[in-house]
Amino acid sequence: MAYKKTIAIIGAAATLGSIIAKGIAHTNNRLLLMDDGCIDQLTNLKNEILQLNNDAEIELLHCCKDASWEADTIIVAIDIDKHTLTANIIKEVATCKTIISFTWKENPENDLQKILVHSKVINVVLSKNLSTADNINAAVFGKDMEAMQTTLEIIKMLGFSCHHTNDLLQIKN
Amino acid sequence: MFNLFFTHLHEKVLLSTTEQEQVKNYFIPKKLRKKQYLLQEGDICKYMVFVEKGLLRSYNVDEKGLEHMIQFAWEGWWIADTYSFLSGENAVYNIDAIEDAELLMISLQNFEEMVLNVPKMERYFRILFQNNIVSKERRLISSNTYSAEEKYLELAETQPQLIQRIPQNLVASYLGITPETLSRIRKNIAIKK
Repeated sequence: MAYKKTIAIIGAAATLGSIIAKGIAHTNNRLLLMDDGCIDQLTNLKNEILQLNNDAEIELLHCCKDASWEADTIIVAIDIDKHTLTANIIKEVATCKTIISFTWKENPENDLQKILVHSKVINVVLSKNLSTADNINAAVFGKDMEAMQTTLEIIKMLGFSCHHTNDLLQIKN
Repeated sequence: MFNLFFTHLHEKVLLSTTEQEQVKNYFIPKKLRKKQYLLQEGDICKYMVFVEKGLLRSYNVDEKGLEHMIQFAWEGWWIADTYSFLSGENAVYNIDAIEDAELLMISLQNFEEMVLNVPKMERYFRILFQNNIVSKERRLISSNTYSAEEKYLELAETQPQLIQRIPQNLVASYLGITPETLSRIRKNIAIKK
């Protein structure tokens, strides 16, 4: 029997966070959903996921520190300007953990990795695929191979097309 | 988060503030809820785990589906499937939480780096492993030569917290006796008193 991983999604109530939560809820993982002051939207999202998959294990948490403390992998799906604040809150409980940041635009500052020095941060920059209406392209940047592997598995679960991986690692970092 | 860890550590070796900060960076802080697994038989045990808060158990399951307790770990104890952790082979133990727990976990790679960079940690683990060998030897003697009542009395004397905190059916399994036998022994002891 495989170990059930706990994945925290910070920013789960917004569009991107919801897509990610729905995309990985059918797998053998436990989800912790968190979004500041959006408990109603999170409750709706939880119900929506449970309707599709009654066996999904989902918990709603109020605090990103608690969610990150309990998680094996932390997904950050919030605006780039909130990265510094969030990183400082979760810093203490995110040591050595894989943190996957999903954004719609590149963040050359890479605030998460700068603050979370001892975490394995992977940045995933998404873009809409113009050739097919519903597909999303993912460009992945990071240093740690194990964290990269986890990220690629999650991207696969989400059904995103992955275009750039390790070949860009050296350039981007 | 590291309070108990450093208190426990300082009973054996004294780390400077800089060394403490260094050591902290090798550990994954993790919360586990009651009944959640940390390790399941057949997976690789990737971490050695220190319990800051709560209670864990390690056990194996026989062909009939019966659980056999190997170890309990509460505040200040370490737990892992050591063979799997060191060799990377599949674990033969299960580890789960009997109570909600706060843990500090270290991977083998980080463990090796840590003892190289902070040599005092090597001394700490040497003392820890020595103590572990002694306690394993004592448990072997108890298991091979003592009667059920003697096993229980020895446990009550050496680890009274185990008797008080752990559910009785798990204590019985730890001693390798049935819950009924344990209940009878406890009754006899109460009468003698």
